Amino acid sequence: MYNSGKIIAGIVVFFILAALPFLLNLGKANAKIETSIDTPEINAMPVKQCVESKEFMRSEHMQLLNDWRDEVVRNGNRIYTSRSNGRQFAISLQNTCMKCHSNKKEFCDKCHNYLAVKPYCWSCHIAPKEEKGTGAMTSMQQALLPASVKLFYQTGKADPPADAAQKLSALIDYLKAHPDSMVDISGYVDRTGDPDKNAELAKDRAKTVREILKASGIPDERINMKKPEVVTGTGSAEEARRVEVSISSAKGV
Amino acid sequence: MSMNRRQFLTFAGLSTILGVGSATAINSIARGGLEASQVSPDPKQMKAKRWGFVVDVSKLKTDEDYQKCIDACHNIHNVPSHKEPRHEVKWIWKDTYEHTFPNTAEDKIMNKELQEKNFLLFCNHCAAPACVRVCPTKATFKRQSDGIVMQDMHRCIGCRFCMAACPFGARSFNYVDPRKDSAIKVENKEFPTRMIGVVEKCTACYERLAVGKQPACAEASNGAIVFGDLEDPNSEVRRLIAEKYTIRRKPELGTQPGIYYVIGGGEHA
Repeated sequence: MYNSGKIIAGIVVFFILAALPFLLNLGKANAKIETSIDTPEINAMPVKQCVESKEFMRSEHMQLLNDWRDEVVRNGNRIYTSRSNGRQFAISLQNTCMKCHSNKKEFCDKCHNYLAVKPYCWSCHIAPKEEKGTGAMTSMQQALLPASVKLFYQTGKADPPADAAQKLSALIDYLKAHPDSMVDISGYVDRTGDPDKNAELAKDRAKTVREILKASGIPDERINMKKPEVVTGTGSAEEARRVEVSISSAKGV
Repeated sequence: MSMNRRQFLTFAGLSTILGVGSATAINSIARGGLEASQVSPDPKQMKAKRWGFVVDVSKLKTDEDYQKCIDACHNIHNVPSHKEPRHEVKWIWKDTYEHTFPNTAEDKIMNKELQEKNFLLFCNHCAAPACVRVCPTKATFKRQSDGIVMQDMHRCIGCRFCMAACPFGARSFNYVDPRKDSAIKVENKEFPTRMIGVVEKCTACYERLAVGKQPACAEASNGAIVFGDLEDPNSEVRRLIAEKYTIRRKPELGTQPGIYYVIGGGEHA
């Protein structure tokens, strides 16, 4: 064989290149997708149970949804009796499925994106409203949530106002009652003064609030120091010199 | 092994029958889907042989009265209101006497008050709907149970044959995405929107009937729209049709429309 050295070397290089994607992914090929069922509605259920068994839903939900669609639209049947537990459900994607699975991004989308399937459900059916990147907040939960607390500061000072502890008490109670909730703290300043110093001041103000929360027994990892995009607060100067404290949502969702 | 022609043909024929037969048998057994016992209508469902409407526009005094009916429908069904008139989507709308009953429009000697009145128009849920006959995918179909002309948005391919077929203009095409440009003012989260490229129309509030509620327009009309079973001789709609003089739109086309418009009051008729 002519040029056997070059040919063999070339073949070896070719095989290495061709096998490179496999070699690189060796050992981590079984990337598992974990869908989340951590929604307030499901958490409130005494027994976490879907329409059918988990295994059935995992493999057959697309068929079930198609059958549901046909039954409602074409046959006028709106009640589904579960095969596995005999319970009855209203047949509806928006009003039954998504009422529990209010975290579409973490539930539906996670798997669908991984498998690169694009079900066209959502071009007509309205997906539940979700907080950016986190689990959905239901109107029920929001009703229980204390409104965000605003603490107002004196010019150029980072000392917490006298009424801080009192204003924060409802929020602290909520945080203690809901161990998986998170709290956001954002500091703001008014328009006057040096921008660099002001940014520091806004941060210092937020830190004082963090200390108050920590002192009340809220662990550090549940406190999210959220730097606002514009540290200059809105409203009048008195309103602008403030720290906003609000419950963001369940953590790890 | 040797085989003559007769044996070969017998063997081939039998194995074909066996193959095709067992495939069908397996398919019919393994066919997934729901068992009939698993699904049932809501017990609250309103039942009728054939739903129909009686519309008495003399009960609609002001423009707001009309608008109330239109808004009631369009709000709960997420019907978009586009700025561009040629993109208009409508389930229920109002129009002049001349447009509603074009075959009598040249009649110069008639009740002026009536002639100047607006009429509420929506899908007639015809007994012999032209739209259903032309639909190539059976996306629009007549419900056997109660005669509603339904529109299955999942199946609609947007060919618009039904729009050409409907003599009443009851169908609208989504030329643009209804979700764009906040065309849907307030979203009803309980009901889907539509997507670009499908035809939509009044569905006689099938989703409300299923849970025992009247259609939204009838509820908001203050008695101007009466909804009921046309096949039931004791129903309110039948009583009104018997008592008052009513006409239907374009009955000569033979589609048997299901909306009866009251013309003139019962006392003087």
